[in-house]
Amino acid sequence: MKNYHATSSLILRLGMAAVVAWFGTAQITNPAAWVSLVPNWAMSISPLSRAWIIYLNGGFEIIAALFLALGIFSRWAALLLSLHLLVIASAFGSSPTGVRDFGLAVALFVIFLSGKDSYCLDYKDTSKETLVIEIK
Amino acid sequence: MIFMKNKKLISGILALAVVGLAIILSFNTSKDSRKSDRPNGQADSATSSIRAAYTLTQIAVHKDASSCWAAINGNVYDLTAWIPPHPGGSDAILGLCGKDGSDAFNAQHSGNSKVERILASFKIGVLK
Repeated sequence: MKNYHATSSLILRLGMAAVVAWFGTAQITNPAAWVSLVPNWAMSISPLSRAWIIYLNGGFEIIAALFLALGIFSRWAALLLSLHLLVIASAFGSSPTGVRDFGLAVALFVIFLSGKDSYCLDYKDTSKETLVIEIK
Repeated sequence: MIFMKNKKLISGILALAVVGLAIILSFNTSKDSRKSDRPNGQADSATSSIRAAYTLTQIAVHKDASSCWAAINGNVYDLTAWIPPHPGGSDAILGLCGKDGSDAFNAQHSGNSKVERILASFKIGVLK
């Protein structure tokens, strides 16, 4: 059976980006529904109000989702989002939310490990460059 | 062939479309949630009415997504705003609307202090 590695990477990137963008937008458009989720330790290390933490978190998630979807610095966007979700998952513990976020974090970590696929906007086909050098 | 030539262009457009769609869907969900958020200015008076007492008959009126109240462990909560963002899905909250949801809540979240803190932020009174 044919291997669809690049296409599967694209689908995974877009799927994860859609999920992250949805949550990021939800936080920016209705922060009141999210402020209760800000952990106390985040409040203790930040001079910002709970609402501002939610705004910044939502903004970060939307920007990271765009980078991930477009394939620009996608590895680093995936790594940041993965670590971000691991922190959230650890805060929720072994509840359904915590387990779900852990799964999402693992999927994002797989994107980081896989690296750029050929659909990424910053992907360069180095195999052609190698070929040119060999001909010369 | 055309696809291969414009591979990056097409995947870029697809990426923007997917993220854009997610943003629009999320925006609409949040908008609906804000619209149904404690009608008649109750949001501002939520803190002052936190000691108000409600009967199960009064709670039963608020039984859907437009206004969702639930009694949990002797307290009354307005969970309307929590329906869309609830991590376990909106159906779990909708199932509590207009009822005493103590058993359902305790079965899922008993002893979870974080969840109890979230729940406390929606308290509007106590059960009569």
